Amino acid sequence: MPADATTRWSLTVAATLLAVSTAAAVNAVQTPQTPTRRPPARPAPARTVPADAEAVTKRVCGTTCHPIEHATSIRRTRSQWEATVENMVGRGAKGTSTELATIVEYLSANFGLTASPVRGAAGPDDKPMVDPKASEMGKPLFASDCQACHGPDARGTSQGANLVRSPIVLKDRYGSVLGPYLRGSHPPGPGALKMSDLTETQVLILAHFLRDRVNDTLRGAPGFKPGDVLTGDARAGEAYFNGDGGCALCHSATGDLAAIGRRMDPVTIQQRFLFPSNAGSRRRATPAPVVTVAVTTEAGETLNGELVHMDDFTVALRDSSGAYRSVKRTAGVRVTKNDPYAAHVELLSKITDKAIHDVVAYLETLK
Amino acid sequence: MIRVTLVLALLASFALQSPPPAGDGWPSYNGDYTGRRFSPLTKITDKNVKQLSLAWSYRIPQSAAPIKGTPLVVNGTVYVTAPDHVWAVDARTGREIWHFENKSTGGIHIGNRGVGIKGDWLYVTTPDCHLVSLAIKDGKERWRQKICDLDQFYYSSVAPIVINNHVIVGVSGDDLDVPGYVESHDPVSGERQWRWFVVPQNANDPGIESWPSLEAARHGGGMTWQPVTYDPDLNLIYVTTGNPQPVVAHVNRAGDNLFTASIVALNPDDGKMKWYFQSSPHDTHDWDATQTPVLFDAEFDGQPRKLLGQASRNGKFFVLDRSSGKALVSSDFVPTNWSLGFDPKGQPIPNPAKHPQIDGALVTPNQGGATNWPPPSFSPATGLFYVSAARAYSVWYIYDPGKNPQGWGGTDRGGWSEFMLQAIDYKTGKVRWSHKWEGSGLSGLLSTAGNLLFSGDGSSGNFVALDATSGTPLWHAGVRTSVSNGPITYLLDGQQHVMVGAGDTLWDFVMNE
Repeated sequence: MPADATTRWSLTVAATLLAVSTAAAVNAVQTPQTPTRRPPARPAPARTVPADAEAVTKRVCGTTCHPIEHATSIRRTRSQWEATVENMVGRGAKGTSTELATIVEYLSANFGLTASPVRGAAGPDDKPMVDPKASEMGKPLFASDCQACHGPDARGTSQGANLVRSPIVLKDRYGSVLGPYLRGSHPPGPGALKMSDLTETQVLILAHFLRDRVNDTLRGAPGFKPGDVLTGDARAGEAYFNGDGGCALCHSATGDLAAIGRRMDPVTIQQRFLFPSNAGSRRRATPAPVVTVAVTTEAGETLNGELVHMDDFTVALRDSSGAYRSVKRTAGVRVTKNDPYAAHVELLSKITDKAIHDVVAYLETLK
Repeated sequence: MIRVTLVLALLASFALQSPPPAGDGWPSYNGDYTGRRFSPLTKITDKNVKQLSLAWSYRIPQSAAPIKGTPLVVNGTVYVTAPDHVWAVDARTGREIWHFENKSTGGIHIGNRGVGIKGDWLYVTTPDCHLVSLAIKDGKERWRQKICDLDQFYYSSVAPIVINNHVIVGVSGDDLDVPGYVESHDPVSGERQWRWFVVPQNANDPGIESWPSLEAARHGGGMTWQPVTYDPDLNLIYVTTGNPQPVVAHVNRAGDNLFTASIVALNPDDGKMKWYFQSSPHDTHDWDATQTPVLFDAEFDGQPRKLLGQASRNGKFFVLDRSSGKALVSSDFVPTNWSLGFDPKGQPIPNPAKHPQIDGALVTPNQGGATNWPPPSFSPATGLFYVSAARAYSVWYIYDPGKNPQGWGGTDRGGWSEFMLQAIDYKTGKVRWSHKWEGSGLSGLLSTAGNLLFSGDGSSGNFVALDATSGTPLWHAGVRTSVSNGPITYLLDGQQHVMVGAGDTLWDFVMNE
């Protein structure tokens, strides 16, 4: 929205606040502050975002599966962006571990929860933006006069409608629809509040509170994260680690996995051991293992190195000297690919959910 | 020679089934009403495809990419789209003729599947919930009709399909708990003729018994993301429906949740339902069953049958009798781990242990699915149903463990995937051959009477022609990035062209003679 409109809106609210400063809900807040239409400006990113971050993100995330706008119209926390990038790798997104870490930095720095809205997101471009302070101010009013019928999360009870799904709430812009409805058509509530006496400010803070509850249900909401995954049996997990899982063939509880329970939260442990090739989206102390390839040419020469590209027609690698080599794949060319995570991939088709939870419980004990 | 005779016989039988492509172009999303994406053109064959060469390329602005719609070709003009954009391009030169841009008021801009055309008029949907009619000569807007409500987070991405005097469109959006529907508009006036809701809106509506309450049903989702297919003889359109809402946390929608994640046959004149088949009863994994319902007439159990095939996002392949909806074949086209076989109707039985869990459930396929929106193809010449497929795992979590979740309430996370072409024998549902790609990502497909199958090879960035019988790659061209739509073919000035979108570029190849 244009800047002049924002200013006009804020002035209106400030004037209204002054006029109704005795309203119970406002008094309940120790330091009344002017609700603003937009959340506070985002703080400067603490981490360094590489100079090529925007270009890398556009190339990896904006050319193949969806427009870049599809990512940059979303607002997420750093951990949510990490999870998103890992999901996309799981769905086929291609990037080096450095590129994926760069993308997470870029998206986290520029498209966090408090970044300004842009076109291309779900809903109308002019959908209301929640001011967290105004929403907080609306909470006690909702609790005292609305919650009994509409439920603590506004999702309705047998006595009152689900407000998260209410067309009135979804059509509302800062009280524009809500106010006339509450004052004119809403039946009397069980509390002392008379609907017709609702002030502009009370309507406004209720509007922010209710839009906040709608936003709670969206992907990327603060509560949109895994719960307790520590449900397994650590002893059974240890047995699986050393036995059927074959984990101990490559890993050691006192070696590479020492103190893993201190270094990673349980959800991350679960994700890492099932999908280690996705770990590139986080910055690592040591370089990620890479896929290598051995190519025997028609002339009988054998080339070894890091796999750069392979399709049905060409294989390309970078050898230990750093030289790039590409070879046309013909009937006489033999290619052997070595995926360092092959054992983890094989696990996917045989491990049970119980074994997954047991292994996570076990690894979590390694403090 | 035997194969050529067989092809001709099959083509003759198919000529009766659907209107011939107008002017040898590609006049609708799937080329014809069947959804087969099979072309009878034979100027490009497995014998000469190595000579296929570039005619031209056309780039759209990078900010609007990728091209995810299927271009239409009518009277030598190409009509290609991106969200809020339509371009008309000369098929002889690749030069732009006109450009239409919608002044958007919102909506998700993830993709647009293309336009519909009838006579001198073109139809396109916009992310901000409008069906817009343009003049094909200059792209000037004739009218627009609102088809959905942005405030409820609907949007539109579907390609309109024109059937007689009906323009059929669906709606998109699964953020909030709102009902899906498909509707028909008058091609001239734009007025809405009927709307069919996917989920029950009233206490006596069909399917209400599959929901715990009217409230749950009315908000039960089921978006109609994909274009319909049509059988003129039966006068039925085949609508595919998306996932139920809330999407992942599902405790407040116990039951099969009809008619979400289903294939539904409707009368295009009044929107009345004739039959349904549910591809994913009580879906909890965002597996829209909106993959193309492909219509073909073929022999089954010794009898000529009117069939419908679908390779569904949940990894299951179905062949139905399309006059009754009765399942003839139900199978897995990639290995899956979420179901306990099929019920007597041929519908999969979900394994409750593989619903999303608070502590996570490892499920294959992942949210992206065993396949997705990129269109499949069926060749009557080979009898094979081709689908771009993924074998993919992820962990599914419940994030909202309450009794009344809304929206998503969970999702999947992480994952591993590999991608392949599957050629499925429609009589058995078994995979006849599989061609694994090194690259990742799905591609739209095209098969032709020249014994060819065209596909992208995912992130490897090639456009590939394969032998449709054996799956052997015969020709490829580097197109810089993944093929991002369904390839098409058409005849222009006596020459056969093949066109494909990859990222921001439309590539047109021709067999020079």
